[in-house]
Amino acid sequence: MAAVVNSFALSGVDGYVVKIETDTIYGQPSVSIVGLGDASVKEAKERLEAAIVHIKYEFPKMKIVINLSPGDIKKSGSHFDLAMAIGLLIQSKQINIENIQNFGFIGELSLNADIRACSGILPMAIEAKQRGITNLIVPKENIMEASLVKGINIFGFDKLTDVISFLEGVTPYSILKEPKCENAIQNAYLFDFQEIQGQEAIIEFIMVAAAGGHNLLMSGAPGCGKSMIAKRIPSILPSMTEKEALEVTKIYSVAGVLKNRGALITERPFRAPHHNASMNSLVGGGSNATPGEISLSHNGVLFLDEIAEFNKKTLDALRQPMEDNEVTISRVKYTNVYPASFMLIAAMNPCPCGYYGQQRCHCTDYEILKYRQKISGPMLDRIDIQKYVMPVDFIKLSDNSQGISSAQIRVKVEFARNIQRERYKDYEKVNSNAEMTPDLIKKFCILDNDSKKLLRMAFERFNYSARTYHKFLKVARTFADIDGAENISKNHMAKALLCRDLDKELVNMVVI
Amino acid sequence: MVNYDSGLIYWIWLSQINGIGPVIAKLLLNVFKTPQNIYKSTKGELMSIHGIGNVTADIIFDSKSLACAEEILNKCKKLDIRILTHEEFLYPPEVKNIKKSPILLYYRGKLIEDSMGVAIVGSRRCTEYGKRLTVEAAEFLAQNNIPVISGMAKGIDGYAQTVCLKEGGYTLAILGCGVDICYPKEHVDLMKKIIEVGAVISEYPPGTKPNPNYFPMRNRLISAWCKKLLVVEAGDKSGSLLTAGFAKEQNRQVFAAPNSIYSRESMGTNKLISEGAQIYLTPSQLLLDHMRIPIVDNEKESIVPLGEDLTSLEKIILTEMGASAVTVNELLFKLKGDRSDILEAISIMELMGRIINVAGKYKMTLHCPPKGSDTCKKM
Repeated sequence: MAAVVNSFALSGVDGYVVKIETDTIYGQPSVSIVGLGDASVKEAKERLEAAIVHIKYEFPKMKIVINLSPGDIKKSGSHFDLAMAIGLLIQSKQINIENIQNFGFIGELSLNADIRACSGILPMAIEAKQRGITNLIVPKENIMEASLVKGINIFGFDKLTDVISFLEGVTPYSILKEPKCENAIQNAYLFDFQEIQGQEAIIEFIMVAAAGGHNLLMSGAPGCGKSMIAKRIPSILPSMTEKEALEVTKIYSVAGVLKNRGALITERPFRAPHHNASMNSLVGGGSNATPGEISLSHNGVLFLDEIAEFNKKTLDALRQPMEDNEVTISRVKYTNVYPASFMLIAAMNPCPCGYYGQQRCHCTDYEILKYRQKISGPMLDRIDIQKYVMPVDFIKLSDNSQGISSAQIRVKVEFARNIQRERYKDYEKVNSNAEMTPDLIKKFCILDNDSKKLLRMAFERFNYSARTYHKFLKVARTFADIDGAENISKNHMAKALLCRDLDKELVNMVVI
Repeated sequence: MVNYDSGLIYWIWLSQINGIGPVIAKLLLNVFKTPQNIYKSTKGELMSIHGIGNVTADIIFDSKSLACAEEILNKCKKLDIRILTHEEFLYPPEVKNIKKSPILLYYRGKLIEDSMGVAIVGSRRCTEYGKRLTVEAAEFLAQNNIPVISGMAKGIDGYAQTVCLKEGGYTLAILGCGVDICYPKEHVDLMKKIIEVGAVISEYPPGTKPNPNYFPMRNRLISAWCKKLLVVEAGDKSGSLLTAGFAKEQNRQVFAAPNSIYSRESMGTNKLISEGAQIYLTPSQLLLDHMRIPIVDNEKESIVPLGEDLTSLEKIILTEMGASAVTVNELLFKLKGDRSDILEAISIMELMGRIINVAGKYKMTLHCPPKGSDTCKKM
C-alpha cells in the first residue's frame, strides 16, 4: 500500500490539499512523479535522492512512483519536496510515524537536506486548518507567516533530520522563540499629511476621495507635490480589519513578495508601478498566472504616476477589474481569480510640456487635448474627482503651523465610511458612494432647490457631459456624509462642483 | 463627382515641367492661349517667342510625356480634389495679377467667388496673449463675413481658422503640401471642417509631402490671397516675416500686433512695426475698404463693478484676489475662515462667472459671461 502524506498547492489566492502518494514497486530503479507537476515538481527527484542520501538514509533501489493527487490539476512549486521525502521514507519503512494523516508538510529541500522557505504559506495554512489537519510542518523561516492562522499547531524546522526525529518522537519540538504575535493592527505609516503645507485645497478633496471611495486624478506641473500627496493617502484610509489584512497578506504570500516572511500586513498597500509597466505586470499574468499590481494594491492605493504615459491598452485593461473588484487571469495552465479592490490615484501633467498656465508653456490647445485624450473616456469615467495640484509658494505660505495630520483626517474618513456601510448594508457589491448605481443615486442623492439650481448653472456654463452629472451627485453625497448630513445641501453641491478642474477647461479650448 | 475638363491634363503637364515656372508658363499661355497648344507646338514656334531661349525650348520639348500628369489627374479623381486653373473666374484676379502666382491650384472644399479676405499668420508656439488676440480678431472677421486666410499650421494659424469656423465664417487654408495630406497631424478634424465649409488649397499636386522648401511659396500665396495681413506673433526668424515681406511686395496692407520688446515671440512683429507695418490695436482695423461699418462689433462688454449682490465673504475673496491670479491654497491660507464656506463661495462665484479657473489659479473676470446669463443672477 502506498504511503499518503498531506501537502498543499495554490489556486489563485486559495490553497487546496494535495495528497502525496508514494509507492515503491519492484522493477528498474527509477523515480517518476505524476500528477501534472511542472518542471520544478519533476526536478524534485534529484533533490530528494541527494537529500535522503545525505542524511544517511537509503534511497530505495526500486521503481518509485509519486502521485500528486488530485491528478487533474496542474501544479507547480518546489514546496512538495518535504512531503515527498517523508512519504518515501515511510513507504520504504525507514521511519514509522503514527497518525501521519494529521500532519501537513510544506517545504523545499536542499541537496544537504536543509528545508528552505517557500511562498504561499498563509493560504496553505488556512486551508490546512479548514480541512482539519491539526499539525503543520513548515520551513522555519515561514513560521511567522504560518502562525497567523490560529487553532492549528505549527512546527518550523530547518533540517530534514530534525523533522524526522520530531515525527518519530525522539526529540520533542522546542520552541526556540515564541514568534511575536501582532494581533493588534497598528498603523505606523511613515508618511503623514502633517508634513504637507500649503496644500489645504487638494487635501480637502483627497479626504473626500478617501471617504467615498472615489478615484482621483491629480494634474499639475512637475514637482508640485503630486507624488508626495499620493504617498500619504494610505495613511488616511480607515485601518484594515483583520479580514482585510489577511486578504492582503494572502495575495502577497502567493506572489512571493511578503517581506520579512511573516508578519501580517497591517498597512494598506501602496503600489506605484512605473509607466512602462506591461499589461501582465499590472493586471497579473505570466505562465503561472500570478497576481499583478492591481491585486497587490488590493484594499489599498494604486498610484499611477504620469498616467498619460502609460500604454493606452494597458490602462484600458484596468477597466473590468475596477468594475468587478476582482480580476480573472486565464493562462494555458491556470485560471486564477484574484481580488483587486483598490483606490486609483492617478497623476499627470496638464499638457505635454507640463507647465500649462505658466508663461513658459507654448503647447497648442490641440496638443493639450490630444495629450489628455491619451486616457480613454471609459477610464476617465471611473475617476470621479480631477483636481489641479498647485506648486506651493513657500515664502508666502510658511508660518510654521503644521497642516492637518493624517489621524485627524482619518477620523472624518472613518465617520463617513461608517455612514455608508450602514446605508449600503442591504446592497450587494455596493460599499461606498463611488459604487452607487444610478438607481441608488436617485434614492440617496436628493437635492434641494438651491443645489439643483447650482447644478443647472454648472451644466450651462461648462457644457458638462451627461455622465458627469452622476459624478457630481456621488461626490456631493460624500461631502454630506462627512458632515453627517442626511441630505445634500447647497454647500455640499458647491464643493462637489469644484471636482472637475480639467473638464471645465474644455470650454475655453480653441479646437474643432 | 467632379467633371474634369479634357484640357486639364495639359494644364497639369505645363505646371509640372521642371524648369518652367509660373512666369514663363504665363508668357507661353499669352501666345498659345491653351496649354494644349503649347504641348503641340514645334520648337521653332517656341523659339520665336521673345524671352524663350534655346534651353527653355529644349526643356519643354524634351518633356512631352503625359504620364506624370495623368497620374496626378487620376489621383485627383480618386480623392475628389478639384483643380483651379489660372483662367477660371474663381481664381481671384488680385492673385492672378501677382507675377509669380501659380498657373494651377489644387483644392478640396468649395471656393466662393469673393474669397479674398484677411490673412492671419503667426508663430506655431504662441503665447496666451497671441492666442487671445487671434481669437478676438478671427471672431470679428467671421462675424463680419470676411474670409480668414491662413496656413493651417500649429498655433496662431490653427486658432484663427478654428475660431472662424466656430463662428460660422468662411476660411481658406493654403498648404505647403498636397491637399490630401494633413500637416500637422493634430489638425485632422480642423482640415475636415475647413473642407466642409471652406477650402484647402495648394499649388502642389496631391501626394506631395510637406517640405521646408515649399513653405515660402505657400506663404507667398497666403499673402497674395488676402487684402490685409495680420501678423500676430513672430519670432526673430519666423516664416511669418517672410509672408509679411511678400505682402509688402504685393501691395497688401500689413498689420503687426505689438508686444513687449522683451518677448521672444514678438521680436519679429515688433521689427515689422519698426519697419513701417501698421500697428494692430483693434479688430475693426481689419475691415475691408468697401465696408467701413462693421456688421457686428464685439466691443468689450461693460465691466461689472463689485456688485451689491455679493455676500460679504465673496467680497472679501474678490478683494483678496485683486488683479492677480491666486490658488485656492493661498486664499484658504490668507482668509483663515471656515474652509468649507470659502470653497462654497469660490464655486458659486465661478458658476456666476465672476472668477475663472485657469490651470488651477483663480482670477477675476472682467465681464459677465454671455452663456447662461439668465441663470447668472445671484441665488
